[in-house]
Amino acid sequence: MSDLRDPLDDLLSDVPTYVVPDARAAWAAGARRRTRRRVGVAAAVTVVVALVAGAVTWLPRTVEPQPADGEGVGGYPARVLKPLVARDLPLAPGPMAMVFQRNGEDIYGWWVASPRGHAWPVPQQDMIDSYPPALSADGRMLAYLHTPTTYVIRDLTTGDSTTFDSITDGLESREGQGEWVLGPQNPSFWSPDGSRVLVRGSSWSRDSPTTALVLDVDGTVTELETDGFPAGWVDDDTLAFVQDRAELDGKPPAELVLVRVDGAVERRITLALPRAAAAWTSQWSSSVSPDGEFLAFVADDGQVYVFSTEDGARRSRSFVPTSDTCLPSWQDDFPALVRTSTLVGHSGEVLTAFDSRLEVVCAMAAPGALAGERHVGLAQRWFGDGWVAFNLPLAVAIAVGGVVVAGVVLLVIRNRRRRVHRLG
Amino acid sequence: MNRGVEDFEEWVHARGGALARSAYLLTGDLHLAEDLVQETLARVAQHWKRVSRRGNPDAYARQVMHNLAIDRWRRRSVRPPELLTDSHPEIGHGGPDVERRMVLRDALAQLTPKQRAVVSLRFYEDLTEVQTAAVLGCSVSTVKSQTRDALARLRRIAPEEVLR
Repeated sequence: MSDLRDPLDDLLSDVPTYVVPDARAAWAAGARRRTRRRVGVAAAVTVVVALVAGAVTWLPRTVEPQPADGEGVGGYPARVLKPLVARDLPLAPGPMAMVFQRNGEDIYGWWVASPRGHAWPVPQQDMIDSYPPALSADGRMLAYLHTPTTYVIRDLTTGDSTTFDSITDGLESREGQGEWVLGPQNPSFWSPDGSRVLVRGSSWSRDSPTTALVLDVDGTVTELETDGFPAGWVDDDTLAFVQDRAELDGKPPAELVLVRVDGAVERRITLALPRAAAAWTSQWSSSVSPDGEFLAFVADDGQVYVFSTEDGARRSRSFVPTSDTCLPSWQDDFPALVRTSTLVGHSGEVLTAFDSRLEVVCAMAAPGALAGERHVGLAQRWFGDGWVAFNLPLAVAIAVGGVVVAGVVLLVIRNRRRRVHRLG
Repeated sequence: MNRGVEDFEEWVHARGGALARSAYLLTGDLHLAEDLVQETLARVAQHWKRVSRRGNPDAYARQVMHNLAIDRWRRRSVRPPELLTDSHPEIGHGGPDVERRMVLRDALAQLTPKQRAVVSLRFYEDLTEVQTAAVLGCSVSTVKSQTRDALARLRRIAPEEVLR
């Protein structure tokens, strides 16, 4: 093997005489390459930063919901994600777009969602039943049973709240701790001006005929004795109730009763509703539109009727299989309904899609939110309604983790090969 | 003057001859060897700070040079062929030694670049098979097979020069 060394030495002995390295030129060339590389890296970083900055600043601006009046909610989310960590609702998070109910195997409760799709649980402690919160038309005011003995109206833009210590849940042992019992599993309705909320409730006093309460943001409570299910407000001073007459004479099967805030009945309007549909009237059947002109009635068989509140005439009827324990929302005088984790508009288009992990069974949007712009997030814009759009943090984590694992594996393989070579 | 430049020039001064010999062994031509040496030195200079900090610029230069020589052959189809000169002053002028050198030089020219790199590292740089494999980024078995094939070809073309 060593035979070659001497002939090679002999062949190469005079080479250095003719091949003379130029150290200065080599150093200058190396320096130029270093500079070029640094400039290239700096340019690449600048381009990436510019692209990211452009994506963050320019794209969202085109989809940012604009408040309708500068104060209230101005849009609604195209999707609502399950937060990685459920945080407490901030004191003044700003106007909200909707309230929604989760009902899964291990989770139950009411949440609120912002126009951009962030979600927080409504702070309701130790409830013995479901007490749905209510969001005002402009999304600023949230009314809810906070504790078993405290009802709260909170201004979400200022953090101010009005507390009603005289309203309790329905646990029998609460008798004596409050004056009124809030109706469980009943929706509440805000007046169009956001100054009063209509709730279903009764008095702890057994001989009281109270059926509903009007709670003012100034803390006053007005008792009502109107039969039927609350359906909303026709204007700032007139309430709407729907009475099922199927079990009475059935002529007519159902009536819309307009009541002043002081309890006086203003008008009774016959609803052109089939008797079979009227027989299944519940607290979740009826909802008055934000302008008070229409009443939506969701029948048990999936038929959705829309009546005029002026004369009870039927404006439309459509078939929309929906939750029977959720109130219709309103968008442009048309009811929007919940169907399999989505809030759908009157023509069937998806307004808001909820993360399936939230297990949403009901969503009630503020009319002001649905009158505004639909906020589509970047992830949804890029990935549509696929899994990645709803799990972007997880997808990024998986991708980064995959790259890291692949890098580590390659590193281990390379090191093993080198070790084998060294030992071989 | 920058300390880095001084160190680099000092290292080139000390190692330039060895680099020139290796480059010639890899290319078989003075001009190509000169180009290879300059390119190698430019790359070493580009990373001089890191290379000198590790304390072994010779090893880095050796690796760069041998891989450059192989890469040059790989890129031959996309580059115009070099025009080689017929003048070989490095071999000498007449006599049996010159003839022997010519035969050996021509025999080396018949090897593939990788075989020349293996011959250079194993029989001129005196590296082990494992060290050679590490420099060339290949397996030890590849080094063994390349060495075997290179020696077989050299023995066939220039038996007396190789097996003296």
